[in-house]
Amino acid sequence: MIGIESIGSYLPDAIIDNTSRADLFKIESDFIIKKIGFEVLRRKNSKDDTSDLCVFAWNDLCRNTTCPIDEIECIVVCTQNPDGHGLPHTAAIVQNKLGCTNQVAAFDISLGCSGYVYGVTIIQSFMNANGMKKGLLFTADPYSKVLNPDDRNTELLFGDAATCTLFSTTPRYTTLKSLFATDGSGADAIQRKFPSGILEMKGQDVFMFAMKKVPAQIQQCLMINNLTLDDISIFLLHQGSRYIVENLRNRLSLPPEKAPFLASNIGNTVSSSIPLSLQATWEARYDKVLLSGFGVGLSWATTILQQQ
Amino acid sequence: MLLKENVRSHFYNALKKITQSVEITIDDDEKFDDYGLDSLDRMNLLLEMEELTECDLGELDLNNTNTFNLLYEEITKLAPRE
Repeated sequence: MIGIESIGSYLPDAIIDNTSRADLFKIESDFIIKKIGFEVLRRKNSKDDTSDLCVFAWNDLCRNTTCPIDEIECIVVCTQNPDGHGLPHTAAIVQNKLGCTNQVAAFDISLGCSGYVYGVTIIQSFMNANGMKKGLLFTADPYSKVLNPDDRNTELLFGDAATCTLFSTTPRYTTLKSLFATDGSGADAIQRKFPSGILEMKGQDVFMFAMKKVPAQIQQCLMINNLTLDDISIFLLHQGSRYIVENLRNRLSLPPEKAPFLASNIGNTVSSSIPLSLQATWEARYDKVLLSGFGVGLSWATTILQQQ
Repeated sequence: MLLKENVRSHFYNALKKITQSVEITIDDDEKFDDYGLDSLDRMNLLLEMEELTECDLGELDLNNTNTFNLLYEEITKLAPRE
């Protein structure tokens, strides 16, 4: 059975001190700390492209896991900010930069904050269907490429990062039944505007969507797996902001330690948000971990990881 | 049917939840941000009011609908007033 064996990550060294920008955006620094939650945001080096962030995350994986590169049979990159204009796909560029053999399936998936949950199921299914033994799921979505530095709705939220998850036949975690949902009528809630290509976000729409849809999907995911909230060791919710995580937690009546906010020194890293949280809690060896990602699309997905 | 006092009751319950206060002292014409509600609190208020009144308030611009009286007017456009 294919599942998650290990996770590596990359957080750029360059940081922005968000609280120092409170005056610039005419808000209280308390609002940044207590509501937005991101005291520090990461910014990639301008010379690094999305594929480079993937390689850095792979390098981190290799510090903790023995995985000869020529054993990799599948590379999936979850990004909506690919190298160049996205053609060729970033996964092909990563294959070359990693020095993999040519006998590798490599493709991108275009998803944002729900991307890791989708990606886990996609790569597991693909590998199972084709008898593969080792594969890599990357998340790398550097929004710094598309932000307007004067837009407080986005500039104070998003941080750059990348993760690399090794899927193998000797997993720590496999998935139970997952749920996926889409509402394209909310496409303009988070989008890159044409022709500028700059990211714009309607915070009210995103907040309302998250509060209305995510708790319901989490409850339904528990139900289809014959589980209750109490059966879950920890809930790793997409770290959209401290306010979103806290309000989701309240709506699910969970104590803070069961649905933590872990991104105060990172930012909203889009599809990297959940795997970064999973890596941060890896040593705890939780038995059942619920993952829930939600955002651009609008798209939302929930799964439960079961320790093997 | 949305009587003003019923909507006000929903509004106060929502504010109690959002501000984690026992007592609410906001006047009907007092601006939400003067009362100490930031932009995220106002989004949460909208959501709570939507759930309590069962009216779809998603399109409301809380920068303009920023007192209880204005909020009540918008809500009653979406539902009949007694």
